[in-house]
Amino acid sequence: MLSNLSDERTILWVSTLFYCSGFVYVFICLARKRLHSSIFSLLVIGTGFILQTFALYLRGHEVKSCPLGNPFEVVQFLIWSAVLLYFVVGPAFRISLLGFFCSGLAAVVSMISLLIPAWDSPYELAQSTSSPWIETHAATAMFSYGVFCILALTSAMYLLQNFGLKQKRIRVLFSLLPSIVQLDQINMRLLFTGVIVLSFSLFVGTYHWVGHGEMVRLPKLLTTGSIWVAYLIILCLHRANRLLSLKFAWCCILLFGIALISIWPVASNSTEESRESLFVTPAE
Amino acid sequence: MTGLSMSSGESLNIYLCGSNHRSATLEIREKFSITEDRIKTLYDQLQNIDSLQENLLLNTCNRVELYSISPNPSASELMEDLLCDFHSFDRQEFSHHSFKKKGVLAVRHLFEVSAGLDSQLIGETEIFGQVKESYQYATTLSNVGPLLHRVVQKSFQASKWVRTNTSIGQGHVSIGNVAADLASRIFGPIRTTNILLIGTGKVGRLTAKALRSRGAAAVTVTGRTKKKAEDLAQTINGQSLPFSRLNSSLHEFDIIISSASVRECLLGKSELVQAIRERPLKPIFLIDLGVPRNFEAETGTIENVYLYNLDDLTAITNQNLRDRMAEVETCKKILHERADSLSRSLGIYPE
Repeated sequence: MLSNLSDERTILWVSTLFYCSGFVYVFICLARKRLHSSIFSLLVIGTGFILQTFALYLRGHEVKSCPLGNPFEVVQFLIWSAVLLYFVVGPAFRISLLGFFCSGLAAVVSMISLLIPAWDSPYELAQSTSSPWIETHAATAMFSYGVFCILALTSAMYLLQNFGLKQKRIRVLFSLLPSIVQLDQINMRLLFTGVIVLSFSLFVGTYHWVGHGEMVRLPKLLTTGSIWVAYLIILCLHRANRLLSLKFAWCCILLFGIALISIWPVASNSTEESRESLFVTPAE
Repeated sequence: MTGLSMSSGESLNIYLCGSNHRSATLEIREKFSITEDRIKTLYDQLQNIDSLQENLLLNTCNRVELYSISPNPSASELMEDLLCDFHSFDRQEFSHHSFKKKGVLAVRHLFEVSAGLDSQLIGETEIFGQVKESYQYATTLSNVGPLLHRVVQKSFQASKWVRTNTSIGQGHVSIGNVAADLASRIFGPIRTTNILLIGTGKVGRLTAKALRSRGAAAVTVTGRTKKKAEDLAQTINGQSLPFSRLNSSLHEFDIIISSASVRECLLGKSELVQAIRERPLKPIFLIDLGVPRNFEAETGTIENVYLYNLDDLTAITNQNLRDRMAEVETCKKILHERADSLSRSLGIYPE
């Protein structure tokens, strides 16, 4: 049983403070109509990310698997994936201000998860016989959620830019955001990537499920399957020009909200599993 | 005495004599203006005056300013005499439309000019390039010595600092550039955008030119008078489109600028809805510069259509100008601090 995890939590608090500082710094610059230093912003968020990586490593070392055993760990892993993706996607697509939105979301969500002790409830440790397939499935599923998290952020940026243009606003914030066309293209690529990664994750999960059907419960199966289908549908509709950019952006945000809420039943399901089964698996 | 003045054993100071848009009307400035071919002549005359050791002439459409380094306390009068003689201008009238400064006030003035604070269009950047060109030309003619060199270089540094660290240069203040900025917010780099210009009005033409100068790929012109549209298309190196094909071709364009003189709206919501159906994922930017308006107001409510009329663009330019004006005092304070510090280090008199 895990009982004393205070060290990781302290490190995660410090990491959250760094994310928060990154957000506040850019916010103050924008409010004062000054250009922010991208390098400073990157350093602050990078420090937060390194600390979070270290804390998750410690937790993973302790539970001897990918730390996804309770909602707290799931949320932390999700934030970690999203920030990691920011470091990849931000420079690749040259999305200014993505760090601002990403650090803001990371700070808020991480703080909430740290403030609710019940989310970090102790759970049974994984056995050495735990399948590597299920580990891969869980990690890639969470990574795809990280992609959908970044997608939700770029969709929010699209809505903000669209609002600014429609309402004829000329604040510094709007001039720093990428263009409408660029954001729509980025959203499409991110959705495509997210769907591919989630599909792979589900494929691996299905492979495991075929052999251990008793370990997967229906609500979890339905929730994960529905989210995958929903993302696939909006991808197809957008590709077929049936879902225009504005509604597409709203759908991406709403779906991510639903995906976030769905983490609870999925994580609870695995916690129950871990209590009931001798062959315990970490949560997906 | 410190700095260069001490080492030379003379009380060197910086003097400024000139006329600009604040001291003279356009008619007077036209008389003061020096054509390019005569600038060298002026420098030759300056070199014949021993006491004017270093000289820099700043000659733009809004100003003729002569900066000189001299040990002679009456250098301003010498400069004034020279400019009056050069223009064959009555000295009393010249005095009425010109100004003289010396010492730290002259240094402050140059700093403000380089940063665009003394420009008619506050915060504009063209003046920086003009000061640089004038400085390079004067250097070529060996008119710039160590003192003026340092002052000008420091004015460039201060100007760049102010531009980077304040919002004096942010936001455009001309309709064409504001439209280009908005187009960038919609399309990103506008080099692949196609522009349609409806009508041959001056504002529309200038806006199309501003977009073209930012790299827009192609401009197509259409209008009721075929000849005018074709002539304009030729002038701006674009194509012309028969007015009868306007509605059926709307979907081919990313930016539609209209400045036609009409009694009722030229394009309504239904035409734009049809156009956007044919390019569902590509936005259309409508710039309505006509009075009465050329596009129905409801076109702005269509998804992926962004409508800006003359009032909207003017409101943005005014807002940008207000923002710049609000920064002027802050910028002046920073520039004056730097100019004063430089003057102290060079041993330039306070006045």
